Amino acid sequence: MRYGTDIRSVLAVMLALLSGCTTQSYAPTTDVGTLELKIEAGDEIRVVTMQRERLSFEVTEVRGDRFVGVTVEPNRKELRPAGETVEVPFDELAMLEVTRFDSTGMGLAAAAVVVTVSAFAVVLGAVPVVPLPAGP
Amino acid sequence: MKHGARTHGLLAAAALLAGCSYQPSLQHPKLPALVPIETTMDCRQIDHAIDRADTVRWVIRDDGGQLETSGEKAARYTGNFFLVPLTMLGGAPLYVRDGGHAVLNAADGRIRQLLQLKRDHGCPPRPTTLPGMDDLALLRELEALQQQFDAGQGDEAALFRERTRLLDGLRVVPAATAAP
Repeated sequence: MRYGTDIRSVLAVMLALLSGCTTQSYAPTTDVGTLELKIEAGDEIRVVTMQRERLSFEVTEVRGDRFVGVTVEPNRKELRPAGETVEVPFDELAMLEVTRFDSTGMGLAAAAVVVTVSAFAVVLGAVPVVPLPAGP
Repeated sequence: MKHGARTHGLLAAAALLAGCSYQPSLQHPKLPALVPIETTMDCRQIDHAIDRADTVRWVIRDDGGQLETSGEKAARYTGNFFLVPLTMLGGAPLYVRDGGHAVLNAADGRIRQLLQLKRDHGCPPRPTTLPGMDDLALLRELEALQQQFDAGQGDEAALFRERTRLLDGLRVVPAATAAP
């Protein structure tokens, strides 16, 4: 029983350590390609425009041809202060980076952790991590 | 042999320094090569695609990205062969990165392909920041360099330097934000 508690603790810590956030960078070549990134209101994105301006902002609205948002605390090499309303037409976008919670990745990672820890538990002869259904 | 080891050591140190000067301010995407559908673009779209790729390339250069010669690459691999296991003992494995070579090389390649497409479509040339040279003339220079490179002629580092100089000057931009 003690092993079971220990393993559950290890499992909880490992899941906490596996951050579900991923950062991806894109260089969309068309407006459709930009829309396919499925950026939504509430996402915080970093972009570089074709005028070579870097800016980070929280998206407040996604229109058919542009992002509307409010700048956040500037990152390195960004000049715009936080709190400015910005509109970035897709046509002007050269690069885009978005950080968001990756539920698929998180699910796979969680499954991998459960399988790995369970395998160790079986080898060590500990109680199963996943509770088994009660018999009839 | 001893001399070779010293050269390798110096190159490894240079690779390490190059890796240090490359500090991405955001993740640099690796630009893809042209796909068949893109060959149907008209002149305006081609110029737009060139400007887009050039912007990505500018970000890489502005963040310290450089091309890496095969000698530097070999030295980096050798350095990492020792560095990774040693630092792994300390619990935090370290390795020397490529200094932005992969992403910069991909951007250079895409720009060259787009310029070739522009020439093949008979599009009008645009000025560059290089005196007396438009973008199609720049392409001719690039192709000559590439031919030398493919034939294994000339000094690789010098060829890379020249290619970088040419592409740094491809686009006319405001002086305050010019490429490094």
